[in-house]
Amino acid sequence: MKRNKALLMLLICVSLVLMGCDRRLDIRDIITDASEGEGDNKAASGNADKEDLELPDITEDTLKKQADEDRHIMQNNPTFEDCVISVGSTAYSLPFSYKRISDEWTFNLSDYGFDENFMLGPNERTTDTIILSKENCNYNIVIGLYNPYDVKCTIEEAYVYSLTIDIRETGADYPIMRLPGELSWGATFSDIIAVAHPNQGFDVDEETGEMTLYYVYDYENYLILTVSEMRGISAVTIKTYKGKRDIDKQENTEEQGN
Amino acid sequence: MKATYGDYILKEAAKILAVPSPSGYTEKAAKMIIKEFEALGCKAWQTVKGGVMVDFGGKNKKNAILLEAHMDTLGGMVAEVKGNGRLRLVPLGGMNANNAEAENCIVITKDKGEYEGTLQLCNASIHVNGDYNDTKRAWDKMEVVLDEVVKSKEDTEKLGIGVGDIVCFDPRTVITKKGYIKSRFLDDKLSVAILLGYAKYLKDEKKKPARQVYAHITVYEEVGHGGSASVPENVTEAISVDMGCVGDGLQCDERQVSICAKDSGGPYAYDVVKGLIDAAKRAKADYAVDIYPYYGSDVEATLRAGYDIKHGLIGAGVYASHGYERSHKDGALSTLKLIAEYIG
Repeated sequence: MKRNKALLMLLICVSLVLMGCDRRLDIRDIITDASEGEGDNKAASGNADKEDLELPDITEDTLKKQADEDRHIMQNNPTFEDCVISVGSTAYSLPFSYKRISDEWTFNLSDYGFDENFMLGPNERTTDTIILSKENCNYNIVIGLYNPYDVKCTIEEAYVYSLTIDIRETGADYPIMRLPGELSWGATFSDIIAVAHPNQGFDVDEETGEMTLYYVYDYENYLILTVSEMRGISAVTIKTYKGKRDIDKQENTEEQGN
Repeated sequence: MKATYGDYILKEAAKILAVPSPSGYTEKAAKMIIKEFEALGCKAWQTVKGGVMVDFGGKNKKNAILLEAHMDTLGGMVAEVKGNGRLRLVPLGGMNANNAEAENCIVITKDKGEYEGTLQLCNASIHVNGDYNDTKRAWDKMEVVLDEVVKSKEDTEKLGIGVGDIVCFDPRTVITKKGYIKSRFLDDKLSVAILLGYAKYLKDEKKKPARQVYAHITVYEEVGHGGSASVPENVTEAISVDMGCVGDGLQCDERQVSICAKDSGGPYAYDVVKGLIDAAKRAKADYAVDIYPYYGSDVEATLRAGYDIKHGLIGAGVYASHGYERSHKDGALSTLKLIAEYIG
């Protein structure tokens, strides 16, 4: 066992030298959480067929395709079930790559008990309570991250599967936001149900009078709106448990067809 | 009618409740129910869809009556094997995350057996999770914690667990000394047991009903299409025997039979409802007439499928519907008395 480990490490070092130390992808292909020595773990064996493993892709080209697709969805009469939201002038259809917002919206891994080398395990999903902040901005957004890949991925490579924006205590500083049905901050309960009735009902906070409306589609796509009489919509949570973006699946299908 | 039929019904209900049968996974329950009816002298057979038809016999073949109860129950299905090895579920039927928390369950794999687990809130330790009290119990906030050493998706998938696997919840059936039955899934396994009680009554009394009687023990009622097929040609009337509602604003309690005048699908046939009330009076069945605010039934699925029949709905009073339910042997007995008197 020790001899095998030594040979494996030598193989890694040689690979690094030949291919360049910045190819973290090679390390990830070879080393996983799996127990060492398990012959049936393709990724750990070093003999993995890399084409079989879906690997993260946050190239500019991919991110641009995502952005174009999301803009197209937002411009074509989406419904709540489409799990799409505009923030500022950018449309986001969940799940979307965190890389699209990570330059501006950040958080410290150490706040959550992790060091800077932390990676999400294959198919690992965080809770939807990660608070992101932005410089010179008085409001936060809250997300959940998901690794849809068969290998570990970095935080930057992960997808955002849940997005919450709550402006109840931000004063006048909050982003422009748009939902399907042309709903935005301040939309009233009547405005909302003119678009769609909450199919999972609603709660009323007896102290504040705020209503929380729940829209759930196939237990996969969720939209949760907080509405008050004074302020209209003042918090929105949008999330999906879809494994991957449909466009990614569509591309994979097309590749297989060729 | 002997009061001991009430005890018989509860015992049969406990037997049927012990066989898990969420919608989509009813084969074992169907086979068991067929055997139970055959042992009481009835012809019983399985429909293509998986339900059970029972022929009780009867004199007037042109004016047959169909009694509909359902064997499928609420449950869950694996929607995602999470990266931490735990399972995200979606409900089958109206299984409610609010009252499913901390229930033991069994995951049925396609070909690698069964595994035990418990449905918990994600991050369920109150000493660790400061948001425990405030977190809304929704299906995406809950997870099945498997009673296996699993820490990753790969670990769990090696057990043979995958998306689409059925999850059966522990019914926790208890029959108390005072004659109450407490269990998940009295909706509608208690009614199946009541129909077994009817078969036993006919056998014990050597009675032939005044009209041809069939029963359809349906499947998929909890998802809306249980009674939508398999109506014999000579049937002119169908009565759903399903849980009677007990709650604020309603008259019925667990020790009575409920006669439904109207539910979410509209009013039941006027002369059927009147006939059931008259029969309850004659049989000295303890009954109440109620309107159920949020309710649908097999017999409505039958009507919506296009069958030309009259329809009605009765059932033993069941409290805490779709949760940990409660009924009583007196309610079951009153339902049996009503069925026997109404059919004749």
